Amino acid sequence: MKHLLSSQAPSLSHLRSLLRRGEGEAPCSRRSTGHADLDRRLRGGFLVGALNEVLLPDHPTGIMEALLPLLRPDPDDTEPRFSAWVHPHWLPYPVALAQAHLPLDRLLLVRPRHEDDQLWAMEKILRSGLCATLVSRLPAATPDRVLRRLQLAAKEGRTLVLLCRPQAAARCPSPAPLRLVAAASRPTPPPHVRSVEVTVAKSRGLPPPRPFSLIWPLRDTVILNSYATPETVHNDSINLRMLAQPSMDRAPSRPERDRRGAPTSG
Amino acid sequence: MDPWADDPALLLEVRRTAVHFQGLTAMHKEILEVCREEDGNAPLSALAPYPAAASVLSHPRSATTRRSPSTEAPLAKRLRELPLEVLDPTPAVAKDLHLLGLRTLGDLEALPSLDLARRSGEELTEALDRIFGRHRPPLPRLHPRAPFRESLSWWPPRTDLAPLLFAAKQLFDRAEKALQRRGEGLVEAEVLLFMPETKTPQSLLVRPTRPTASADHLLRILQHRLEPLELSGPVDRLEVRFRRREHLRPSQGLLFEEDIERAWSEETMLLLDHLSARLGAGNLGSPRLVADHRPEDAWVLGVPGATSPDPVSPPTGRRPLSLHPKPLPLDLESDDAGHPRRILRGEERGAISVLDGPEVIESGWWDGRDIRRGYFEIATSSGARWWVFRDLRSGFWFRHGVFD
Repeated sequence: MKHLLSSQAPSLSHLRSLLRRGEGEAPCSRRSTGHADLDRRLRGGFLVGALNEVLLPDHPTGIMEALLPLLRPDPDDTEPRFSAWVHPHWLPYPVALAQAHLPLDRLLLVRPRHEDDQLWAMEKILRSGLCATLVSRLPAATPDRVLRRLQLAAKEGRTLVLLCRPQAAARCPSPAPLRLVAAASRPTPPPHVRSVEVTVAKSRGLPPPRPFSLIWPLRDTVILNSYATPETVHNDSINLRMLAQPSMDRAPSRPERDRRGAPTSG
Repeated sequence: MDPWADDPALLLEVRRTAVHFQGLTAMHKEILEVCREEDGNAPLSALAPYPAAASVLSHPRSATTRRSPSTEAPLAKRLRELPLEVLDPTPAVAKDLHLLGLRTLGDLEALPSLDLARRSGEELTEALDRIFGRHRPPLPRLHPRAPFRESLSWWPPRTDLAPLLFAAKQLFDRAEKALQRRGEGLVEAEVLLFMPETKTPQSLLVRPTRPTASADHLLRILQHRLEPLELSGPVDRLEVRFRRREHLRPSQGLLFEEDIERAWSEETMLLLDHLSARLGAGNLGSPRLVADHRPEDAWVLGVPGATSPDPVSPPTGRRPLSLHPKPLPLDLESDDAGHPRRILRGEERGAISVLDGPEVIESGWWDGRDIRRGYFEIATSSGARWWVFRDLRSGFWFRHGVFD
């Protein structure tokens, strides 16, 4: 802090640079997640050549569907590379990937029989540098040395690793430079959009985490019938298109009300 | 090679050779004995005056393996008694013929050929003409490949990998020369490890992802197979045998620039070979969509990086990112129209929203695994998106996937 006592007042950016961690390390390139809001919060996207952890709850949130654009061929690659998905049984349904316009011939599904083979295959693929992206899932209790090894392999192979782990892993240290926590959105979003609550729990050089809702549109989705309670249906500002189905009841429409809350006629 | 057999089969013209064996019977017996010594089993075989008859008489589904007499009358009688399965008909044709009450080649031959051709196709009548000798097409001559079966021994027997890899390197170098001379690539080779303490050698298969003649490539695959292997004793001999090979298309490189794509493909093939050597070839690949409406059968795991020559478009209905291997039973209440309305049991019990559906899928009637399901995309009260269906025959509900 010697420079603070000098005759010249330090600039604000200089002070920030002293307080910011991670200075002096070579910056990783980033790849867009396909969501401008998330990219903005991550200063460009997920890290290439590093582990990017996503901590998942027990029930599905939709976060994997949101991150599918990461499996598209990297536009910066001079030669085409695979996207690998490695796990004994947690593998995607390729028909859904085809619907997301991912090239299936550039996708490598790897089904190791047990965890030792899984870690071996992950390290082999990462060090080869022949895959642009690798997706996998590891338990919460994965030792730190294993994660460090994978982090080094990812750096060597210049591969973006999307590593999913249970939310219990939040209590465990990790060498991954980026860690997101996904949770179901509260309140429940309208049925015709997808939304997941994301918290950036760890990222070099970013301010402390605050959860935000990542929202992305589906193709035309309509409420065909809903027996849900009114609190879970948000139709204030969203125009819902109702289909006429002869065998179904229409959802009850809200009557027009005047300023005092009394129903109006017509 | 027998052009009409699904499994590999060999046709031998033996009439002129038989004089050296004191007749057909003695020659046939000697051939079977040699095969038994080499492989431990005698193959299915038959003698007949022309190839098509020999082919069906030695078919696995025929009841006979003995030679037929040289006169044609008894041969025709034996051919008529053969079951229809020796023709290897498609399931549709087999079902059709079965419904007509036809069981043997004789039953087929008794039908008017024009009507048979109209009903089941000309291939069937052409096959009958060949089998009964009315049409005897010439066969292409077979040029057998020189077999490759070479070994190296050492003393004393060792349990470490060093002598195995040294011997394998020498043998694969010879294999590379043999393959390059013929412009061939190896599809599958067998490596046998002989131990003085055991009679039966330990066998390993070397299967590159794509046919290759490269000794280095084959050696690296073998190394990956050997590393996790537990030898049952010290080894004193290693043998390499070719099992399958095929012609290689020559690859053309650029004259003045480094061919980056060609060099990268070799490295990728090596990575894939290493992965498949340890994990098993059936446990990695690139998915490929197939034309089957049943969701669980709509894709297969194919060769890594291979593009389908006849690509199939995905269905228009939205599909979940995570599909359960088997549909999970679900306690759902439905409305009068049969649409889901409420989950009655479990953590997500409560009202639901239907986002899409019904998408009715009816398929699979031809192979006994037919389905009739009405699919819906629903949102639970916690916001989870599920892909559920109602079995339209039983009325029960199932969850088939989640939109993760």
